[in-house]
Amino acid sequence: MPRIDRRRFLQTGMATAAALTTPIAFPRAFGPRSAHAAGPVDPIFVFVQLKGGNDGLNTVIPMDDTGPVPQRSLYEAARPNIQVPTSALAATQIDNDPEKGTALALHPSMPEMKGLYDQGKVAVLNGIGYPGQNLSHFRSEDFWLGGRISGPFSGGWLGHYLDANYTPSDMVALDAAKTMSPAFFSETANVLAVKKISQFVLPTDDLYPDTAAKRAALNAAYAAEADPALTDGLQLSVGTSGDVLLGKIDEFAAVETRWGANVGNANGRLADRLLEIASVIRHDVLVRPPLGVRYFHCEEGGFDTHTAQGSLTGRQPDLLAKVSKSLAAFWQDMIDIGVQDRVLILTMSEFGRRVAENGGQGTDHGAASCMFAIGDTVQGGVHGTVPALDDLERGNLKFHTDFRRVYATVIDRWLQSPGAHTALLPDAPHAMLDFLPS
Amino acid sequence: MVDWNEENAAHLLSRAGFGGKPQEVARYAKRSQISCVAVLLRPKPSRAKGPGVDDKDTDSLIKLAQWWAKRMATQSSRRVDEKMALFWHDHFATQYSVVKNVREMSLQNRTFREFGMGSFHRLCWEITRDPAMLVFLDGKDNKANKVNENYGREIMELFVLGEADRNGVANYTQTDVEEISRALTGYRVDGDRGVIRNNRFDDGDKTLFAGTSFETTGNLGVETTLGLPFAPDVNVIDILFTHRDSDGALTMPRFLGRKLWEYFAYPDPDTALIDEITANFIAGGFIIEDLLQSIFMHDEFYSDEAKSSSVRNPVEYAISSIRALEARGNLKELPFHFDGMGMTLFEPPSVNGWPQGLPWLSSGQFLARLDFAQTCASGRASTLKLIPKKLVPKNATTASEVVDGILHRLQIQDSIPSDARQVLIDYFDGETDFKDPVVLETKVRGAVALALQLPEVHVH
Repeated sequence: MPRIDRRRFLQTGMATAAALTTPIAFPRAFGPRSAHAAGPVDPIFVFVQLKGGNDGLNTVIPMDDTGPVPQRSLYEAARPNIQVPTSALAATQIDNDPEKGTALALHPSMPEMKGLYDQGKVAVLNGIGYPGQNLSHFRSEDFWLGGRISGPFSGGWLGHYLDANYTPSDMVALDAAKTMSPAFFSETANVLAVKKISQFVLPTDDLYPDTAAKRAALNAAYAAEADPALTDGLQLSVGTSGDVLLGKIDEFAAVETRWGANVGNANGRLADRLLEIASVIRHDVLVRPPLGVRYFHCEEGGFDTHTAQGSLTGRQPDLLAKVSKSLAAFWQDMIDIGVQDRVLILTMSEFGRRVAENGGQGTDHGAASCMFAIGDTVQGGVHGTVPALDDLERGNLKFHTDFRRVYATVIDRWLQSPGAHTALLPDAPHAMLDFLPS
Repeated sequence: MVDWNEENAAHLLSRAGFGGKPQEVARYAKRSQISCVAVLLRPKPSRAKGPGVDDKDTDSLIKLAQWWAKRMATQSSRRVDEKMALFWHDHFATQYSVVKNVREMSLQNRTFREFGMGSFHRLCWEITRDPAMLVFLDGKDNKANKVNENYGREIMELFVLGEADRNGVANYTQTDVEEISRALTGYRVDGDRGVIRNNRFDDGDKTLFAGTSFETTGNLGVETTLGLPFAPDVNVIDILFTHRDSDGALTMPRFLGRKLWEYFAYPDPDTALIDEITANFIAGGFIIEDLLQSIFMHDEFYSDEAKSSSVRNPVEYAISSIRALEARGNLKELPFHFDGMGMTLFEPPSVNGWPQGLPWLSSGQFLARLDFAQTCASGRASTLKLIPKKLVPKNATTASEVVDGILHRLQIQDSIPSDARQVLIDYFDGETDFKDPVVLETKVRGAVALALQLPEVHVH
């Protein structure tokens, strides 16, 4: 067996125990549990990806021409078929654009999100992007999930965070997905990536079970496979993560799954995944010792609306409705189990979409878009101006706030690792944003 | 030249196809390397097509997946065709959930089989007018003055060039995306194929790769309303093939050569190696079979690295296990196992195909592999039948002989740590009566399950 260049792992897309070109060199001094004024003890972070490039302009919609730029008129001119009429926006109107003064509304398919907004739980972050917007889904996703906007993909921003704060035998992150998100790719961290926690069982031969002996043999074999003295390369890395996983099976089997009084009644993939996440969070509230799982990722797909995007109803409105219903129901579940002060939800998408609609009543790949941060302590309201519709770059909205500043703020103020973002997000602008209190 | 032996023959069968049973490996080991490669590549392309004539019938999508799974598990002389069809399904990844038409998915699968070993130019053309692809990437909605960039972007980024070259220099600009999209206007789906409708085609001048040495301007397109290809100087597929990277090398052969090398050998090969294996491909006018021949004849293909640095995808894992253990059955449950392990046929996660390497072993999918291992080992039904007696070497009197027989079938006898081998032997708990049905049903099947769950079976 050759010893394999660690770099190779990564480029195949490493998951269960991914390898990086350069280990991150900074001390573990800032433990994630270290008390910090801003956030709660044991913060929970739910990272929600809207896959395909969500059209921010039909998510946070200009309602009038107030201010220096006639945003509404420009919006209507660019989108004759997919514009959302002003008359439909009154019920989901939010605060005015903080700079331009334009009246703004969430898409009418998001009444639940508007409800949370009115309670001050939602920060709407506008004009988010990065310099040199790449219009490839896959490249732009590399940037967004990796927290770096150049060079080959070298691990996920959450994966880097886990590496810096945990040992490989900790399993503190759950990706409610079949395949792990690159956001969690890391050097040594082990992340549970599973669509349903109930799948987390070992199979048996029903006719001739011999279960205990098989289980013991499997554990013993993986102990050998995880021993660097006995094996190496890819085989060792599969052996190591398998060994960690097998050791956690009984603990995860104890989770009462499919719990979520509210999100259990919402429909769609995102709701299904949030139901798994809610089950694990609840388990950790009720059961001692807890699993300690506090970092979550899930996604909803289908935002790549090149055709028939829809205005009031249609593809994007259906998706936004799912996001709104699912997240609001999940939030209610968090309140019901009493952890709302420990939970922060952040949504992202790899890019926004072209301002002008295309020939298929859809929109092509674009640039700046919006994010939502939801939580008890977020500074609710509209943060950042919606980019001017009379100052486009190749037909796309110009960003004014780098997404890595959002991540830096989460790392510093929510995950309570002040200063860690400078190493985790190298070469990124780090100025804090005020959607989380300092 | 490498030493032609059982290890290398087994490796060739594992990578070029889906592995083989011991007698087959032995047969290939007895021939010469060149004749093995020739016999694998020689068959004429197959036009076999799966079931699926009933539109919008989800049952028949399952039938189609079952038909293909069985073909991959049983094809002998056309095993490379099936391996390549799987490659193209990942490369030109198309989702049934968007296309919603079984017949069109079935036709695309046939196209991969029929054109997947021949001219890459022809394959790109067939895919450009492929009904499933025209639906999936909105090509049917891309028309003059109302351009839809979806297919135009992906043909450059994912199918032919790549987003950037090895020096990080972008291969095309947003203007190129817009221009090539104009050249790809006009397609509608008519019956079983895409045709150009004159009034939808943008027949104005377009410019591709402005400012480069291979800049081309003209009334670029792909084919006429009669289905005749545009001449090479105005055919966008030919023009894409003239693209050169910042080293001055042809971009497409490096892009495709690298991807095929990674599929068949190991990740992240040196560019010098890629240039070697693509030389005949370039000289011969981009015939895919030439590229495969160069890969399978290259010494580096038989290196330790090529034998241990890739994660078997779920189809490779399941089918090579079935072949190695000579399991039988109608295999109708295979697509459901593929699904659990993360590789739902006809439903790749995106147009970028499946993430390769360790993402295959994300925990849920890893557990689904353990489940497949158990299902295969305890196969006693018409869907999958494994005969434990067959796996016991003649006159075996010790557990170690039985274990070594299983390890040898799976070709992991050299990579398994001795402690793990000992675990399998100890699992027999002193039983040596391999004619005793309870020993066969419990311990031999149990050892098969354990062996199939070891890390080295998931790696090649």
